[in-house]
Amino acid sequence: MVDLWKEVTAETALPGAVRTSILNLVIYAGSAERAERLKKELAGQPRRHGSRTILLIADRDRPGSSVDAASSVRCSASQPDSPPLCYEEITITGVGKVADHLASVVVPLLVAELPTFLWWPGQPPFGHRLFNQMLGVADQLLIDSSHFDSPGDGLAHLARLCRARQGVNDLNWGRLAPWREVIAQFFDGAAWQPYAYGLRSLHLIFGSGTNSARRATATTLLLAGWIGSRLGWTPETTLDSLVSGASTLTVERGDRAIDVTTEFQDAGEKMAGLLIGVELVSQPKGLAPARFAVKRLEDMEHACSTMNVHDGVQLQRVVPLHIETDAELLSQELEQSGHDTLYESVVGVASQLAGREVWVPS
Amino acid sequence: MVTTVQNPLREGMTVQRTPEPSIMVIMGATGDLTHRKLMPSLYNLAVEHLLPNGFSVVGFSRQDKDHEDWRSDMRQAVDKYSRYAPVQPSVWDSFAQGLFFKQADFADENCYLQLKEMLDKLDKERGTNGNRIFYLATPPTVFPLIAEMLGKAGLVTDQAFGHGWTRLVIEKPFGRDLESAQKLNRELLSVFHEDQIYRIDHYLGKETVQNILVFRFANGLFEPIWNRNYIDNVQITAAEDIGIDRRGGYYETAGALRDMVQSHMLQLLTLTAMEAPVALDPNAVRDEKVKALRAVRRLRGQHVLQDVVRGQYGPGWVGGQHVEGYRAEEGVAPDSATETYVALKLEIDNWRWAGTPFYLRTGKRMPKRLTEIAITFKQAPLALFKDLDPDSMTPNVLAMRIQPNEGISLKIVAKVPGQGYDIQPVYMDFLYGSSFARQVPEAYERLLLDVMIGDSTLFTRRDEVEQAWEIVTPILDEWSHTPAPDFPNYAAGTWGPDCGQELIERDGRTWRVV
Ligand SMILES: NC(=O)c1ccc[n+]([C@@H]2O[C@H](COP(=O)([O-])OP(=O)(O)OC[C@H]3O[C@@H](n4cnc5c(N)ncnc54)[C@H](OP(=O)(O)O)[C@@H]3O)[C@@H](O)[C@H]2O)c1
Repeated sequence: MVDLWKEVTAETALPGAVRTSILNLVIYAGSAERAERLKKELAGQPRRHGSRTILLIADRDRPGSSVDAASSVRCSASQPDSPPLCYEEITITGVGKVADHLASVVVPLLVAELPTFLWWPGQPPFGHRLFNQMLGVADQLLIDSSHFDSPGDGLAHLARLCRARQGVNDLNWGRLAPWREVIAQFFDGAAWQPYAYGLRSLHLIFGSGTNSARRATATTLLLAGWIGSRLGWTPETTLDSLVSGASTLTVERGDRAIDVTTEFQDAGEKMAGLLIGVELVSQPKGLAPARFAVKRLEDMEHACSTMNVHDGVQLQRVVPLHIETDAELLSQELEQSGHDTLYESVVGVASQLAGREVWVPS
Repeated sequence: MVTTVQNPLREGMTVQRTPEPSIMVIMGATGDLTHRKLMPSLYNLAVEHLLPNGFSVVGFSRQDKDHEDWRSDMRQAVDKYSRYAPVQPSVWDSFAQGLFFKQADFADENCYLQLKEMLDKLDKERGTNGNRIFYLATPPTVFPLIAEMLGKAGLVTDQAFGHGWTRLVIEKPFGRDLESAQKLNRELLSVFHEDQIYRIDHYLGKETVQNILVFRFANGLFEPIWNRNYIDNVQITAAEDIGIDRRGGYYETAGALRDMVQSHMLQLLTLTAMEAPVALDPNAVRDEKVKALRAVRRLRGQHVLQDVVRGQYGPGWVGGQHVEGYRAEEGVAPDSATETYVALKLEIDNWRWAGTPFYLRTGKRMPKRLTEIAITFKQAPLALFKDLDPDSMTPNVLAMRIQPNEGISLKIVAKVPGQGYDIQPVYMDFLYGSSFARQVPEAYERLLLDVMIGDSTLFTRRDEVEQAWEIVTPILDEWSHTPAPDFPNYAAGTWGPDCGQELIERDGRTWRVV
């Protein structure tokens, strides 16, 4: 590593080629093909954080028991005019038996005293020994629940991990952040607050296409879980998985039933399973009914948000709603370590909405 | 007071900084500040989803324009100055629906009554609930008039009585000296409460300036040595390579002491010198800042002549270009005695700082643009290395760079590899741009959002302004009855006049080479 850094310093014309390490990022790539794909994805994105990145490949089928390692230093300009940001990338291939004991290879490679993020693409094998060992070396687990094969089970496992004080970052939750912000903004200001408590229905529109129902399930559960956890909703019916037509989940608040419905619309394959619209209808006691909606515009980079109070304020505005790449989302999540208590309570309610028991430690 | 919005969907969100819907009325909406800073910053906030639904802006100015004329002016300004330029047409169009213009004469009561009607109507249409911000982007001479007229027209309401809230934003200069600042404060306070007034010093909106507090009070390492026992001196430099940029008329009435020292530089000194506040709330932070300013020793009479020096640039070369001297600039008298450079030594008479001087210097047409605070620590006892070249034993310096290349560097000495004990200075450098690559918001974005939220931590309180003038006014008084130096006394593109060097060298120190 020291030699690699000397080379970088010698090769970079800019005096300030900067080695910054603010975290360790361990990525469980599984196969060599996936590792290559991830490397390409990460390299195509300007890095926001200096990190030591360790990519893990498990090659159980090769005979013997050995560890192959390759390392490099990559530099990219974070912003025009600022010195390049450099980070180290180490690829470890565990051959044969070692493939199930990769944690022991990772530990000595971590930069001491820095937070360690474990990124596990896809649905992790919760409960599996390798996963538990890897989790043991990480401060923070990074997953994308929209890629879970079984969203209900996956979210219930995450809820358990959160209860066991494991820090969890979900790219899917990050993907929903701008939506959550625009939705929350409807109810900012004392005059609008009663409309949040008076919600009668939540309608979600997703792009149709490959795997759209599976991806949309996790998103529906998280969004309904979020609003439900803030407003004290309890499930009346549950939602295991969405079929690609309309589905309904009913929740209760006090003596009122609230319908959560979904719908799929064709918006091109790129949008398959992604949220393209949200509509909320509210009728607080003693106030006029109101409809709040956010809908992606055709350019898919903006959304139109509308507030429609019967006989009152009618507001419409366009807000940027960029579709973030996985690498962009990853960058954002790497800025958030520790416990996101909001996500922790949301994932608990989401797994209840999915009909999964949540284990509560005694 | 920070308004907390009881929105259940905000509970638990990490971004809690969300304003309630409101209307911002910009008085002087055709001026430079509105074009270069205010409108581009508001648009940037819109792009970042930080503006509330229904947020509206009313331009209130003397030019004859309609809504559409003003919208199209503003669009051009945003296109030119926004960090998100060029504008995204769909975002602009919906943002511009909330922009309105009202032609007005600031002295005519009727105009304010019409404004009130217009705002009441907008409240109903746009759900802004009577919440208003009046932003005075006008010359300071009309601040008292506008405040008085707003009061008379019933446009200043108190939330305590069930109305929406009213806030007033004013720009520096807050007076020309202590007396005029006190007068302005009295005039504003006859209409507004202090907690409704937001005095902008845009330096406080800079990320790096806010980081001074984080650096000092969130790291355990530095605070124990942040005092007279370990620090030899503090140097605050604010150098500009530009001249006065066609603002001769203004600059002739101000000068470097009023323009930079009374506001920005004393803010930097305060943040460096203050004690830890008991909380990060507006009054706790500002209480400590005021205490630090109160402890700054006032310079009078002979001490002014000894510890404050001034300069004015003549022609010279900056960045490979020949530039005129100050007296040849537009709007400047050919025999002007206005200072474009000032350097001073201040002492802080409290237990933390007694005996540790703070040297401040600021100037126009310096070799480069740079603002920094440099903390020079006391030299280590040298007994061990006494045979070495004494020049190689430089003290540790911690430099907080405010702009450009925002960051922090620590100078330490290290052993040169080899047989002997050769020692050389090395730098540990932290650059914002390298550790965090997210775009830094502009100072005005942060400050405008703070006004909407009602957080006045980064705004200057009445007593802070007056304390700063108490430090600066005796210097102005002394200068007013001593003959002006033989100006110009430094060439553009240099680090100022010789007297600036002498000020520090006579204490056996030198300015940092920056
Ligand atoms: N520009 C900056 O970067 C900056 C930085 C720091 C502080 N400030 C402060 O911000 C304030 C505005 O500065 P600015 O540069 O925008 O000034 P400006 O370009 O001169 O514009 C001032 C605005 O006030 C109006 N105005 C001027 N005199 C008036 C009068 N007697 N009656 C009615 N309206 C009048 C102008 O209208 P017309 O267009 O009709 O002339 C214009 O709309 C000042 O207090 C300044 O000290 C500005």
